[in-house]
Amino acid sequence: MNETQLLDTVIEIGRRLIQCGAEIYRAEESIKRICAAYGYKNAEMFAIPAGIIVTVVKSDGEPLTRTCRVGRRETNLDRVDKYNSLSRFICSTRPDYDTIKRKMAAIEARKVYSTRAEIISYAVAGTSFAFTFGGGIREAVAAAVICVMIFFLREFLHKLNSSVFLRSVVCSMIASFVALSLNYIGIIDGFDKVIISALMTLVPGVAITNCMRDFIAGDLVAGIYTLTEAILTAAGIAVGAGSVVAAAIHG
Amino acid sequence: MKDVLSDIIIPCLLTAISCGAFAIQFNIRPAHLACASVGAFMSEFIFRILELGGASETRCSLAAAAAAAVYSEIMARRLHVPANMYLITSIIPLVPGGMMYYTMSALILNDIDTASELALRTCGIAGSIAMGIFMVSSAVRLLKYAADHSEPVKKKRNTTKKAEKKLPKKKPPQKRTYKNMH
Repeated sequence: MNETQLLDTVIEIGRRLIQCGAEIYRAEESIKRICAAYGYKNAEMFAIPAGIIVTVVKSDGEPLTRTCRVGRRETNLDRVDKYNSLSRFICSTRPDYDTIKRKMAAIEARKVYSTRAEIISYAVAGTSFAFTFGGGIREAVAAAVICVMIFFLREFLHKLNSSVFLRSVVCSMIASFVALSLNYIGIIDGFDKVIISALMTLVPGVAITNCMRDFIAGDLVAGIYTLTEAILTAAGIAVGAGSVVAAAIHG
Repeated sequence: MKDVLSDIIIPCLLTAISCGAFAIQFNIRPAHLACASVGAFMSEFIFRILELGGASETRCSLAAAAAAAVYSEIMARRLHVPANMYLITSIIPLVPGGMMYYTMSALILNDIDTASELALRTCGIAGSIAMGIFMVSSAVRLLKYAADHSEPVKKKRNTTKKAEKKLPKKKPPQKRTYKNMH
């Protein structure tokens, strides 16, 4: 494997790790170990959730750098696990470039859950959150319906490459609007439990956890980036739901 | 006894189900999903038990988050997967979503007193969740580092580690392996 191929491999693995929701140190560690396994112990890298820079020095002393911008993040912890194992495998057996490419294509082709399973999971999550927050059977059904709507809305907004803030504002606005309408026509009594259980599917759990883990690992820039993302998501939820509820209450 | 069932066990089971279903959107494989739901059950259970015992909500969140972090680190080590897989799901029940909503709803009703009180409580809970994860994950990180680099800095590591390690739960003693040396 030559330097160009090595850089291509590590950049791609690092990018996919960060996109799928791994912590920054995991991506940097993978890059460092893979480079070391192929004999480039002097590889330097810098990763933040928005991009990666890797430099290796060739045997004739000439440095070689690749930069890559990480966009469109979506949480897929199964892929994080698979890429993590792949980078371990690369370090221990040092396969050639084609083998790595093939393995990466296999990981990309994996789909853990079908769309139908995901829709059902949203409905189940909404239902049981509604029961947890003290709702009755009608609230639970309403929450399930709203959660399924949120699923489609999220997919749609993800396709449009929207920011996290816009996504949570739009989702929570629509969810609150539907809950208020259902309350208005008398299908549910009291909209707050339904809204809370629907909004629980939007909470930035990944961002909160990753932000803490980035801070612990000493990646302060990455930690601030993820913290901002968590705060923006939470603020987006509050703004979206708040504006709709305020409009309903104050006319 | 009936109270225990209806106040603790059933809500915890519901939470485990909802967090498990919620975690499907993170594409966690079914086998790990079950373990992650157990983590969610556990953190909610600890939260409710402590709350029943009269502890403040920040303390409950701190203990529950720390327990969730310990659980996920252990499971991650056992099953060789990233700890995030379990940690994220186990933390979800503790996220003060309801309180956030009521803060906002008090705000739009112009009830500033209630809103500021709820906002501060929300921040307190969020902070203690973060602290819980922070304590355990830092301890694990130190232990891991010490295990990997045990020989050259053995003495020093040991002393600093004892000071840092007071709060988190007990861990297996530091392994002095030499195999990971580069």
